[in-house]
Amino acid sequence: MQDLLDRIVGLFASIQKIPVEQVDPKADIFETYGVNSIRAVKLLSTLEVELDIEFPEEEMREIRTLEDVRDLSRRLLASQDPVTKSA
Amino acid sequence: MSGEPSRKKVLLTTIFRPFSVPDKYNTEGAERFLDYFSNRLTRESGLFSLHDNHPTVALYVLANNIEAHTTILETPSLEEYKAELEKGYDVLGITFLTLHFPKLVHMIALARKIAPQTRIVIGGFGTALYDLEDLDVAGISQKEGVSFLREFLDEVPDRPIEHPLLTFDVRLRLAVQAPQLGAKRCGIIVNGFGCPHACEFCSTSAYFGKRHVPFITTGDDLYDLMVRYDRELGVRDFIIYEEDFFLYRKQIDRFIERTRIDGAPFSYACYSTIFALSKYPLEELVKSGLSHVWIGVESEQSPFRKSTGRSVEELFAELNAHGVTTTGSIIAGLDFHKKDNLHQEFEHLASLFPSTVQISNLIAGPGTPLRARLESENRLIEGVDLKDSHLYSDTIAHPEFGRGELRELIFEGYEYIYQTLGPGLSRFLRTWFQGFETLRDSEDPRLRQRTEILRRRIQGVRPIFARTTGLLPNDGVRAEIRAALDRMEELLGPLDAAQTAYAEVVRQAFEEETARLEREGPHVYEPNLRRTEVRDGLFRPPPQPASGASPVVGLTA
Repeated sequence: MQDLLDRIVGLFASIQKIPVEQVDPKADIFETYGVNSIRAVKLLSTLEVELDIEFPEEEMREIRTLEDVRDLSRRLLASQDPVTKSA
Repeated sequence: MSGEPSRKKVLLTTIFRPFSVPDKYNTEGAERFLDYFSNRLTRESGLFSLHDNHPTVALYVLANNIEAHTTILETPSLEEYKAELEKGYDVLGITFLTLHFPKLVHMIALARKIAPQTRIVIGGFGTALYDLEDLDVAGISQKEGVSFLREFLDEVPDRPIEHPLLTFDVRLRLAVQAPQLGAKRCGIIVNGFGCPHACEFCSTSAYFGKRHVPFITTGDDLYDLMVRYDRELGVRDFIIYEEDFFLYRKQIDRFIERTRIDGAPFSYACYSTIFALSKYPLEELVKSGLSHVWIGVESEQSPFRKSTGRSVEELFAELNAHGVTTTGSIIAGLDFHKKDNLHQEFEHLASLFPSTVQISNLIAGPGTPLRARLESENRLIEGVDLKDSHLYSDTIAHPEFGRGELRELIFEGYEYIYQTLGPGLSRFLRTWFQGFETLRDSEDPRLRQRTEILRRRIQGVRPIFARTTGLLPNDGVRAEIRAALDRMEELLGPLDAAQTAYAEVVRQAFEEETARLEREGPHVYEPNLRRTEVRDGLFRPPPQPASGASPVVGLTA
């Protein structure tokens, strides 16, 4: 699942317009990178489209780090029907 | 820059449906925000509530004034939106409101995946939000949209703007399910944007930099547009979009003159202020076709310049006496509001006998002076969910009211108006009748012409109440409406055969809906997709049936 985290980090870096190397997946994205609500929604919406998943609203509110995003995405992908997932 | 037709392909769209499914994009009942009547003006009226199917005017105005081939999508589903994107467009324009921001971001993400070559622009009042540059879209229209889009498409930006012919239907909300109840068709006229009154709270004024941006510049152009609607679509009733229509004296004086010279029996609804209305003898406006006016009363103690001039009580009384129906709107949560004086505001509003009302929460929209002031007073509530940003939202801390309290009080205010005055439609009827009684013996032929229009409206709507008074909210309202119906019978005679038949159709529809409501609960009015292609920058409305099997009576006159 390192690939998934890499994708998330890469996407986050492009949204924040910072080099990938500067992104710490364990850091609080709001406090460390000053992410505003627009960038947060943009990150999650893009991931939803890219991964074909839907983040539940309550769980979106709990996200603080990119690892949180990765964990939630992984859970949602795993819960999808394998036939749908491969389609 | 080239004056040659660009023939680019442009997709203009609203945000996606559904609106009625509570989820991360929608709050409970969010579909009602699409409808002026059932969410605002007649939200409390039960089976007598009204409904309209307003088009997204800005998209048609844009499509009508660019050379590119344009497709308009209104309220697509996500699947419909995705399918349209796959057809390949040069430019995608999305219009949105603040509360729809999360949907906008999702639509942008989809467009980037499905059609990465398509350049994205966004517009609408939602663009007053902060930090939108973080969306990395190709363009953000934060001014008058036609010149913005022309510039974006490399077209000549300042060629004349042509107003498209656009209509909508007003009907009983129930008539969406029961089209036999008929509807009233109205033409839409966009006269201008922005407002120089620059009230502290006004998002529109802030959005246009406290300036008025005229769209139709002369009284002749305005009148000629009405003539075009009449000639091409047979429409003689209009809603005019302009924040304070009567403020622009030169245009209005000429418009009034044209109505006097040409004498066409047009009727128009508009928005205006006590300030501007105080500058005219009301009879002149009535003769020009004024049939409904929305006045921002705001408060019995309104501190705003727009509220200066005649006394608001006297003005509403005179409007009612001339058969001009009204919308009176007030704001809850002004600085001086307390629990006791807020109810006095509702009582004052009811005393004006407005035909419809709007009671909203004080909103500090982005860019407004109010927002700056409240920010400095540390009174903006942080972390408000954008999808819950609307007329009734709690976004400002008020020392007299707890969180959510004002919203509840606003809904109590709506209920108070309903219980005190009855449904909005009955107030329309009573006001038309009051005007009919006042004007029917006038020696002025133009006022008698207005009387004839009022008579037709009364005769159309009377039957709706003939057999349904049992459904009115209380004995007091029932007695008043029955007395009004009796007086109408005295002056206009008993219902004729067509009216009697229609009264029975209405009674049956109300009875069936009452039973259905008990079984199934409220009907959800989720809009359908409207897809329109505009070629060569020329929108013509498709032939439309007159709102189902249009009866000769009902909301049709």
